[in-house]
Amino acid sequence: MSVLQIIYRSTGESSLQESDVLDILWSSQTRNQRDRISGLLIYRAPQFVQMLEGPEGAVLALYDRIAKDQRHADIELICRQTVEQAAMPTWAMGYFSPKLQDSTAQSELFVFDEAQTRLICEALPSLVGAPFLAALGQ
Amino acid sequence: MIMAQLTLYCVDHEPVSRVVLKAIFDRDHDVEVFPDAQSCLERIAARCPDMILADVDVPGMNGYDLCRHIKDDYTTRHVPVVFISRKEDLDSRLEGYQSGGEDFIIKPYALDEVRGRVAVVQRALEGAAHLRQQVSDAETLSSLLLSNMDEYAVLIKFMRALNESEDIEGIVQSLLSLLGAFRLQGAVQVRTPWQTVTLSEEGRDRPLETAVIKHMANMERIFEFKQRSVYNFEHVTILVTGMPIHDSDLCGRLRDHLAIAAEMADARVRSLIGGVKLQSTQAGLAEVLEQTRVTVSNYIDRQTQLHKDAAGRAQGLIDRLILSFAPLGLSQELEEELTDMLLVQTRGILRLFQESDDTVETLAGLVRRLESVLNQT
Repeated sequence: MSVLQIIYRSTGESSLQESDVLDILWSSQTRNQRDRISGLLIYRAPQFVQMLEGPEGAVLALYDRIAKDQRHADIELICRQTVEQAAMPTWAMGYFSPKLQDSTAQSELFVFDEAQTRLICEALPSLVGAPFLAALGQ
Repeated sequence: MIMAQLTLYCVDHEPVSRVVLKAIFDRDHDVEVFPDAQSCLERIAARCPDMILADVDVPGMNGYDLCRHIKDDYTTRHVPVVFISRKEDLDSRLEGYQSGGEDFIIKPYALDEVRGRVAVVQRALEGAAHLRQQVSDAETLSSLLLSNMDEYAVLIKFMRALNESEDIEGIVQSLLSLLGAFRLQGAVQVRTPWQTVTLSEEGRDRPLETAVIKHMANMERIFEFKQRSVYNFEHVTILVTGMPIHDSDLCGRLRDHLAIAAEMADARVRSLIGGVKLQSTQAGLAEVLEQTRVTVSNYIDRQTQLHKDAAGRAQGLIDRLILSFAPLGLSQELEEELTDMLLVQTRGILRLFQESDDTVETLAGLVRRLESVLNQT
């Protein structure tokens, strides 16, 4: 069964706090699992890069909600394509902040560290992985 | 609960899935990833993992076949297999179950879900390991009990032989046989006030061995040095020269058995010493009794003879006095008066002898009792 894949880039509001980003993480994990949406989110302040993939309706509805979210701006759609199979087996997040280096916190939040995120991005199809690797700084 | 680190093999043909799985578990476990079932099986042959996460849809041998292969092999059948698949239908789950898998995770999975499922299987794995350990402990215990039963049988046989030993030789032989039954080498020494016997398989009363054990007899009750152990009691010393120190359990049991055996042998020797003393006392008493009997018998004989002699002499005295009255020209009355006086006094003396006869009769009764007691000893 084919899935819709969307990749966008955006800029977080200057007032965005770490707690706001963590809220996004928690709510996204729960909602995306329910809607069978997988993907990857990278946040390196102030930039977000996210891929959403899954049933077309669910992905579009989610993207529409994200686009209207006031916590970020300058949303740029990088890729929209239908593929036979989702690239990611889960919905993962790479969140890079000097304040969140504690391994316990990372373990609890299932936030991948930079090295892990880079490995994931390198394992993705090049078209999908490239925007993320660019955000990570190749 | 802190979970132990697992060796976790992840099989998935999608590179990103392998990276994600490794990233999820790398912090807590030893993770190896494989792009196909065959490479995983080759690795299993070299190093068996604790758990396998297998994508069902790998090319070539699929996840179900991999699982069947693992479960058909006696050496790997205990390894739990958790399937990961994009297939959500019941048939896929059923096939996973029939192939022997432990769990089934559907992609896309939540990260905490994968970790949670693995933790559940890990707990089951640890529970099974705990059960296996319990079974192993039970087998060890039953084996130990059987060994103990054999050893107790040896000890009981020794007790029987010891009980039947009527002399020091028997006790020494019983102790040496006990060492042999426990497959131990050494020497035993039994000490009594009149005899010391030292015995080993090499011979009896060997001078150096006797001297060494006598020296050890003054040391602690039980002591060990290297492979030797010594068990000391007042009259008994056991020296073992080759304790099986490589087997601490067996060593501990043998120590207990030998200490009990030495103590029992010591009690038996004390009993024999007591018996000998009693016999000696009895012999002394019998001798004293016999002497008393002879003395009393002689006394009775002398008393009887004395009585006869006294009576005869008194009568002779009366007869001679009567004959002596004639030349004296005494009146008839005075002669009769003197004769009566002599008769009265003589009878008085004879009565005293009569009373002495009662004492003799009492002594004769004592002699009869002494003879009876002596006949019993």
